[in-house]
Amino acid sequence: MSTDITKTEKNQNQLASTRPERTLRPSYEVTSGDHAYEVKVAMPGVSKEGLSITLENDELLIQGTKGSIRRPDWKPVFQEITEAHYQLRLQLNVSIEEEKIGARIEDGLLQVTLPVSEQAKPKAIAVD
Amino acid sequence: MSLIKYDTYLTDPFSEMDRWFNEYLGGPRNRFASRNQFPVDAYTDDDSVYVVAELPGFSKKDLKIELHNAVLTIAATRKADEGGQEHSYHLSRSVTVGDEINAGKVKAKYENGILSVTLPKAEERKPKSIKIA
Repeated sequence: MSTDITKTEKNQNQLASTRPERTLRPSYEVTSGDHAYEVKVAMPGVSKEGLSITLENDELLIQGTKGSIRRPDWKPVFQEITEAHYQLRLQLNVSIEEEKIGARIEDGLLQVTLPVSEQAKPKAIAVD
Repeated sequence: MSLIKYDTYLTDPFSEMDRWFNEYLGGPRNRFASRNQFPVDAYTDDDSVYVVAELPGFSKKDLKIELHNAVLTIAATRKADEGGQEHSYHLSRSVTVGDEINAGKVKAKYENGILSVTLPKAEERKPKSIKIA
C-alpha cells in the first residue's frame, strides 16, 4: 500500500523527468518522543513545491528538487555546493499511523512527524 | 575571521589548510550541525560578485554578513536543544571578494535555507569597451 503524503502526483512526475542520475543523501536526525518520531532533514534550496514524501510498506522516501540560484552567465570562482537533488530512504521498523503523518519545510529544513500507531506503543502491564 | 583569504579554491595552496582549521578547530559540534563549515559558492560576472551559502534552518536574524577589507564574512548562530540544555553553535565562513566592491550596494537574500549575497562592482572597475578612434 502506498500513501502519498503530499498528494502531488504531478509534482512527482516533474521530479522524475528533471531529476539527474546522481542524488545526494541529505544530513538528517531522528528523535523519538512518547507518541511520535520526528525526522529533521536538511534540504537547503528545496521549496514546498519541490518536495515529495512517500511511504511505501515500511520505507519512507523523501525526495527534494533543488532550485538553482546561479544564472547561466555567472562564471564560477569556486563551487562547494553539490548540485545534485536530494534523496533519503528511511526504513521504519515501527508501525506508523499513516493518515496522521505531518510534514513541513521551512528555510530548507524539513520536519516530518511520524505518529506511532497505538499497537506499537509500549504498554504498562499491571502486576496482580 | 579574516584569516581565510583565497582567490580561487583551486589555485590557492592554503585554502585546504584554512578549511581544515575552520572545520576541526572551529568549536563545538552537535550531531545535526555536524560541520562547523557550510558550503559556499562564489560567482562573478561583469557587474557583480555573487556569494551563495547553504544554511538550512536558520532565521534571518541569526545570520550576520560583514564586508571588511575585501573579505566577506558570513556568520550564523544556531540554537540547539540537547537533553534539555540549550547550546548555541557558531558557524562562520570568510571569502575574499576583492576590493572592487561598491560596499554601499551589497544585497543579501535568504530563501529556502540558501543565503545569496550580491556584491556589485564599483563603476570604475567594471570592464569597459574602448572605441578605436
